[in-house]
Amino acid sequence: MRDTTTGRDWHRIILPFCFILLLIAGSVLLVGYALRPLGNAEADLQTTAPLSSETQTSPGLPWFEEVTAASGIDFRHVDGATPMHYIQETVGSGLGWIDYDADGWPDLFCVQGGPVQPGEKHDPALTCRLYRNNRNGTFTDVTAQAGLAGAVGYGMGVAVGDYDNDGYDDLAVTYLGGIRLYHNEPSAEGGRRFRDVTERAGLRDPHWATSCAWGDIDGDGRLDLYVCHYVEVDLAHYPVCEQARTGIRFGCPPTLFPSTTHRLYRNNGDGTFTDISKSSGIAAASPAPGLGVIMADLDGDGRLDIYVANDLRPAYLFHNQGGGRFLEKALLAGCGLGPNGQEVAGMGVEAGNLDGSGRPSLFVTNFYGKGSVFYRNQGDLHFQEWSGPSGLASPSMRRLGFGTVLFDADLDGRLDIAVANGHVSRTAPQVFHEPFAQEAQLFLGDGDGRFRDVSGQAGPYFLEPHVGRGLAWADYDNDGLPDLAFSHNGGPVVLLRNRTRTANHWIRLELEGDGQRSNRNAIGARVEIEAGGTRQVHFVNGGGSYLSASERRLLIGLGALDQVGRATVTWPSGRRQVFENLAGDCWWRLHEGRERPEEVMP
Amino acid sequence: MSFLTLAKRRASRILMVSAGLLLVLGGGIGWLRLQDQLDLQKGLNHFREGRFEDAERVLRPFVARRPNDVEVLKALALSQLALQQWQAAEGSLSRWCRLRPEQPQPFERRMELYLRLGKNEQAARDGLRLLEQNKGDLERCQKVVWLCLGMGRVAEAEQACRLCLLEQPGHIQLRYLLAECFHARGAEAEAQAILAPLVRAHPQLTGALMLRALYLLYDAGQAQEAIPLLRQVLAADAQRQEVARYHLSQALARTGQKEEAQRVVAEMQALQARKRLAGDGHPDNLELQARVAEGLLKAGKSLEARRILEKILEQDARYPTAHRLLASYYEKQGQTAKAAEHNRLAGY
Repeated sequence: MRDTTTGRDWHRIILPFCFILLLIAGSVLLVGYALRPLGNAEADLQTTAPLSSETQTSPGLPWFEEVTAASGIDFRHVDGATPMHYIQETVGSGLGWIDYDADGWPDLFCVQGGPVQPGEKHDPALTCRLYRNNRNGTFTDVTAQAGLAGAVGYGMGVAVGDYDNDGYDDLAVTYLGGIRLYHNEPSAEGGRRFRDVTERAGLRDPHWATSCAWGDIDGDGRLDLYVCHYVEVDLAHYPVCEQARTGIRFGCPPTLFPSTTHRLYRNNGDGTFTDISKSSGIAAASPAPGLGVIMADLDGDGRLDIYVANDLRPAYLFHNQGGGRFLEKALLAGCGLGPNGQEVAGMGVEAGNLDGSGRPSLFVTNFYGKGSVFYRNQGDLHFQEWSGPSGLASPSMRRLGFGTVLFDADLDGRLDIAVANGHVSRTAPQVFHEPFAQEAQLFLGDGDGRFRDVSGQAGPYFLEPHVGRGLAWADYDNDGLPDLAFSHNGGPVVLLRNRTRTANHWIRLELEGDGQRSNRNAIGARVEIEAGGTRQVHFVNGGGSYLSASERRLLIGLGALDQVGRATVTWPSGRRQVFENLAGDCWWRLHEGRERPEEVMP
Repeated sequence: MSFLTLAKRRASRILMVSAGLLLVLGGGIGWLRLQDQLDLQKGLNHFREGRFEDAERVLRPFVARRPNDVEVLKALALSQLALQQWQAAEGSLSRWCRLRPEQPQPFERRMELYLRLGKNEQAARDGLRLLEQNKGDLERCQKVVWLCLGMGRVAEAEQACRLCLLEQPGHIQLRYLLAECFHARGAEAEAQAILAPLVRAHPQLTGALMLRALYLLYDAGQAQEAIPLLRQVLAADAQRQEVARYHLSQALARTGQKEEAQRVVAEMQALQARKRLAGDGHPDNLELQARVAEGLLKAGKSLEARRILEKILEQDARYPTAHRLLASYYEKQGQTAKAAEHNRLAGY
């Protein structure tokens, strides 16, 4: 009896004791757990702020709103990604603004990729697509009506130009295996449509073509065509590029593949072209993987020069000698290599009066960790690399830049720069500790060659990482503010509408050459604006950006001034014309040889 | 037995049992702690003996349990570094930095790791912090300034430089670095105010010579005056062979000496191609081998170039770049038939 009682009592004492012990132990554990510091690297990194960060929006700065969905543009690029990480999958495709029906409202042409392996079945729905501007902020896919439904193949870039001077822009589209030319013709329904005239034009090119550019290289009033070639890839013997330690694959660099010379086609004026790569001196340049090209008169001699951004090879500067002959001079002109003589992974390129000198300087996007390069034009075909002092080197260091445009985002009369960014290799985070998707950037220019990164205050798109490739500007809604379209590798095309709140004025100048001595697109023209004691110089260039085409009309910011006192146009033919007292916030069409400017109502 | 006696006995029994239990529990805990200590000592010994893999395996759970034990954390971090476990090491080092912000060692280690990982911004931040702690560390100062300049972080580079100049105001290397910072942000007048006397007094300072040359070449329009300075750099500084050649080629071109400029720039390209080939990870990279040959060919070293090109063709008889360059070689030699054949094989 007693034992039983004692046993029962024993439990009464032991159980609370255990409970109390558990409670104490639990409390100690919980307190310890609560007091335990965060133990992962990410958390540690989060405790320290980046060296500089701007997160607040500021009034008066450019502001871009993404309007892709509302606009009806539903294009999505297919990169054909494979476990092999073929180099072809990494370069993306571009886009181009083209007013194909000449109604004054820019339409958008998007280049499509596809499977890389030639034998692989190509989905016939994967075509380049044309979106017609409905003049109300929306677009309609008119690919089939415009005769472009057959534009299949792994597309790369696009150049827009009226090669037959008929008043309607035509399309040159590059592919993994060459180039196609689409001629803009009247359709049976009274609209416009394109016809593939590649064969008839004699544009035979089996190579991997990337960016291309229109420009009149011999002064005959007709647009000629420059085509960049990248590298020669034999898929049957494709090299393996992988991290030794982990075996993770990544996109091979172009230095593993042979390159071939680029092509220059002379426009014969009868719808055909002649390959003059050899006779022009283009083929004499050492072969290099070309990605971006611009045609601009870099030395002011009245002849279009050709600048090509090559990937990990010196850039080309083909100096126009006249008569369709070129000499390659980039290295000794100071625009072939980076600031210390290192090779640039040149992607996109633009040329413009970035430092107020009145001469076209060059801006070239570059690889991650290298920084974009800015060749300041010092005259006499001498360039000084100036990305450091310009403020462009530092913010571009942690980006891999592709497409780029020069435009006046806030209409203050000074050129600004936008850049599309994104890594080439989707395994870059694991292999190189570099982000695959990256934020696009916007740099505000001060007119003297210095720039400020305002990407953090330019709208949500600039705050989100993307795998950016092509970039082109156009004022698609004709509101006097330049808008942007980005293409993404394996992603959608994105349209950004410029919603900058500004009281600044603008003037739109649409130059039309006479189609005889000057090409109708006026590529190669120089425009000098004098307003209120200020002077601006602008150029109508051929090509530019990366695989993309911006609109050609000049949209010039005037700041507080609402009138241009004098606009002096030097046409490609060399003819100079002065137009006086042009009202601001207006669209003026200037015809070569006609005294009076034509005001255009959109 | 009275109730009181019974209660006392029971109480004493309970106390005895409790004491016994506590003793057992304490003994158990003590035994576990002893084992723990022995394991910890074992882990630390592994670390001291350089057996990092064993050290990491043993110490990792300790750090998880005792995250604030700096000694263990340090051993774990250094073991992870030795084992090239970069991500884990970064976490351990960051925790060590947070626990001992006054110590330079964790920041030094983390800076080195960041540099290795290409996280230059974080490396620069650690570098600046270290400089604030020890302004007299000239070697680190230079490292941080160059690091910041390399990233285009001119303001931070200047900040680092000025920090160190506070300690050693007359130091010639630091003054030169400050001039580099001024140059990088385009303040050429300020840069030259430092450089002109510096170059006169210390002609062996090749960095300063180079910077002065760049100013003369690109900003002052005095390319001719830049040439001797660049040649001086080329003769004295093995580290600046490529960059000096590049700017020398620019100076020569601007003074009309195009042929020599081309030769100098070709030499530079051959040097670059060799360097790239060495670090490419694809030693059989024919394209880069061809680039070396191209540089040599343009620099007038034709025989060496031909040897490389023929070697390339032994590996791939159809390699177009090699044929093209050989065509160029034979053209220079006046052997037009051979040149034409190689051009044909190159597809031109």
